[in-house]
Amino acid sequence: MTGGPPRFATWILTHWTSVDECVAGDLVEQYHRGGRSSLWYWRQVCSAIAHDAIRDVDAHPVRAALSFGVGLVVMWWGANYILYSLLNLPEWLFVTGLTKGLYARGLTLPQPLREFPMLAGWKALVYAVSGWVVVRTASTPGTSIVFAYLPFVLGFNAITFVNSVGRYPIAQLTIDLLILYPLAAFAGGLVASRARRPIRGVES
Amino acid sequence: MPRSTLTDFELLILLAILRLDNEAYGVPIADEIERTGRRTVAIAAVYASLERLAARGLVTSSLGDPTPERGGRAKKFFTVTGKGARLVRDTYEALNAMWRGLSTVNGRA
Repeated sequence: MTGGPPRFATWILTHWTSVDECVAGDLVEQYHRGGRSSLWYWRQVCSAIAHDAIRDVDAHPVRAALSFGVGLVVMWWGANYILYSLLNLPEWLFVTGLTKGLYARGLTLPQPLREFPMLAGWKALVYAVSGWVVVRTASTPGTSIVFAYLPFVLGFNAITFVNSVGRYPIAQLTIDLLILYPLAAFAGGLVASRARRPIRGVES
Repeated sequence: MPRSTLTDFELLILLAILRLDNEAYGVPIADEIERTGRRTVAIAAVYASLERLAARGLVTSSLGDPTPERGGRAKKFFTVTGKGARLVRDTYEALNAMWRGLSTVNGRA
């Protein structure tokens, strides 16, 4: 449909959330009838996503808290200990044996793979795993729980950001901690979410 | 324990449904609240409240036919139940009772 609401916003609403399909219908109708702008439509979609996430957490608060906790632990330990241990042959108990074993067999990673920017890629992978874990351990394995998890990731990374200022360039910290890693966590959550069947009918 | 009172937004939604009679679905409900309640409303917020009201047995819903205007999606029509209507009336009476004797309120606003 020419001049319809933003297709991508509608796609997010119908594929990535568990909101009632009537909500999507109402938004499309209001967009056409009320002469609303694309910005209004995006705002409504964001609001629907937020309500969906809050509803999921509200329905099972303990389970959601546990999922977020497990996700954050995976993220923290994975990115800060296990990853460094695997990459740098450390003295850390859990993985020392493993890394020494790998190194003894000549299975070492080339130096570029152990340094920035590849290191950021490995960390992003850890964040993706944390997002995946959150969705898989949540009571409703939909995407809305990932949206609810993102503020925790951002909050956690904001603390790391503040603690790391001065040791690393601000631009690198911003890209890594506030953009790349949260996006990776989100992507991991998306992969874990059950693929939702598109709503019947056209897209917009 | 379920609440026996209504938030101001829930009250506005119930009143909008009663005013709209048989045409109460998301869009007109939001429009009605925006027009008479003089506040902007997100459709998702309306549905979140309607879901809570339905869980408390204050409204019921039924699906209409899908229409092309809505991208082939159906409308969900809402009706206030007897229990919902009683709670609206009780809330009105409670507010009215609190209102009585407040002759100075206009001067303060």
